[in-house]
Amino acid sequence: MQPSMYTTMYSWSLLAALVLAFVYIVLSIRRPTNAIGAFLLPLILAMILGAIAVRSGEPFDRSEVTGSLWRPVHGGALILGTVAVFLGFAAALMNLVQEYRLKTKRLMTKEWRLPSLEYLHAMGRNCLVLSTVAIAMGLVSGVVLNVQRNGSVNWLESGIVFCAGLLVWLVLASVLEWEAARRGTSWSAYLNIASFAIVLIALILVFSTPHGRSRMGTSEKSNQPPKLSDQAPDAFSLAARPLR
Amino acid sequence: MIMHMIGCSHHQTPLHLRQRLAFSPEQANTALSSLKQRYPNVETVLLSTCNRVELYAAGSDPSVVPDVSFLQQFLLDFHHLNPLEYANHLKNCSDTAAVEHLFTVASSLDSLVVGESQILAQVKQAYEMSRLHQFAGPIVHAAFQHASLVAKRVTNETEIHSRRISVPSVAISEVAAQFFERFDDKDILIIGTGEMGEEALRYLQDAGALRVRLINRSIDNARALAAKFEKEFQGALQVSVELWENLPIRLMTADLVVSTTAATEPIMTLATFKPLHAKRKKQGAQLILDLAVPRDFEEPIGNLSNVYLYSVDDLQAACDRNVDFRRQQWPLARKIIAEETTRFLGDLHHRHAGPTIAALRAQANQIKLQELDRLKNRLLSQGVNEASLEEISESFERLVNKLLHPPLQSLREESAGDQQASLLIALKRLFNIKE
Repeated sequence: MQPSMYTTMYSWSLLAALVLAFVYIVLSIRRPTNAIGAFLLPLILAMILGAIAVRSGEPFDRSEVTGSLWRPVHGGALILGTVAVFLGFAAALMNLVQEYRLKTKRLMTKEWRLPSLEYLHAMGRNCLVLSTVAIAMGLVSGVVLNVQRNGSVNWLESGIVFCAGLLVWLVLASVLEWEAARRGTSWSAYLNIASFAIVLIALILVFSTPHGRSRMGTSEKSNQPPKLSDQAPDAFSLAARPLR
Repeated sequence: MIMHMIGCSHHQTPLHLRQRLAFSPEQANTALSSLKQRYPNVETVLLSTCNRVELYAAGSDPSVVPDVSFLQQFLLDFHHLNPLEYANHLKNCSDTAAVEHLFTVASSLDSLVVGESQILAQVKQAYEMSRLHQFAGPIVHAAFQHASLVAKRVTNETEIHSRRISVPSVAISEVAAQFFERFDDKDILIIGTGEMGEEALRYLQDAGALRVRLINRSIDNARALAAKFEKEFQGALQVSVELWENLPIRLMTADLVVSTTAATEPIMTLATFKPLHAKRKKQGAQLILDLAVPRDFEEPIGNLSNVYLYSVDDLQAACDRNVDFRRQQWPLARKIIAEETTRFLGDLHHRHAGPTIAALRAQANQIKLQELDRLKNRLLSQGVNEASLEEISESFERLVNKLLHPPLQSLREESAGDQQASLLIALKRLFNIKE
């Protein structure tokens, strides 16, 4: 029997890709003359490929915190943070291309028009701030989930360490961005690109650890495979997995 | 329908000859009045702009319209010009070609700057003047009103007007728009109050700018321009005047700088600008549009981070590309004009032939009724019943229709061609039609 939807890394990644695709549709409607798709669609495809790569992963352990509101908050905030970083990365790439073309006086053709430098810079900055807030929320909600389940938090658990490291970087990047933007919008773009690289590393590290998955031996059902019927079918919480 | 166009344009006539042939509105009125006195039924419009002088003369019949050589002589005589001097510089065309030329001019395909929008307003103005003074008649009304429709169709169905081609318009609408999302919250500085500066101000207002600072060596000129714009835009664009000495301070805070002075040396060197740039606190790019020739800002300033310097040469490339793009739209625009010319002439000829066709039908109907009455009286006396009489009446009707069908069909088929006028004349003579 296959795990139900939204309870694995696979479904979490697919949901993140779906959110990014939705953002792309909104941007395409609002700015139909801009070639945003050339930068966002590869990222959406990469997310889907990433999801396929972790398809065989174990489902998240939700048995002890079923019904907790912090679970969807945790999963949702991490999705939002990841999507914001991906979006910021796309804005940064567009910013660098736009800046290069404007500096070298190669004006955009009608068919290959990007948003204005001001818009791209604002988009990058907003993504950076949004991702910082979302990752912070994800971290806090994960801590609360751990307390609810275990009564304590293992601060050295890999998921918490990677997430906290990412948060520290994002806070630093958001603060540095103000000074970077004064020196040139490309500096701000580099911060977004670095954030993207760090998120990618954090995701790979988290996906390669047993973070959030069923803990054999700690549950009363440790000798039995987890019953999928135990998992609540609510859609959004699927993405959620408590930090340990 | 007869229509002649006689005139000159930038294509074949040098500026000094065009200037001497140009008409002020008063002169145009006088000239057309004088023509009307000699030819009371002629319909005329005189289009005189800086790039062309064209006289359109139309009428329903060749007898009411003066010929091309008369009209040519008339134009030259009005200004006491030597015909030999203009021998190779005046263009003329008639009927279909004249209509097509009018549509081409109104659609701005014949303009010096293809796609410029001013010419349509000038064509409308010339027609309006003619209409007000009753120089226009049904043909001119139809032709000039249709010209506006053709120009609108060319605008809507091609992209001939879609791209700007003057340096200030490209600078604001294409270059600055790639830097800034909006202009209402930007600190904009214009240096110089010349023609370019004034044009840039207009485009900035169009782009949504609310506040502009103006700096000029002569503060009186700057104040005069500011007052002019305040009045013109009724406060929608706030233009504040700054002293020349404040230029360095304003350069530190400006997001967009448009420089248009007539200075022979750069007003801003790299050495002067660099410390100002270092003190700049604002985030985001600083765009400098140097529209002056020679340059106002030294070229290396553009290498500083977050500073983007565009000179006239950089902008000219974009202008040239847009001009090329407009040229690419030509075949489609020409096709529209050809279609509309055919449609217009077809409609006009059809309308023109209407009274003749109606008269021909009425005449045939009258003959048919006379013959039917005569036959009915005789047949009734011979005891023929009503049903047979009805059948005979229908036969007469069919006979008349079949007889009239070929000539009317030929007339319809020729409605878009040049032969329709002669066909109509032939028809009137052959059937002795008096409308």
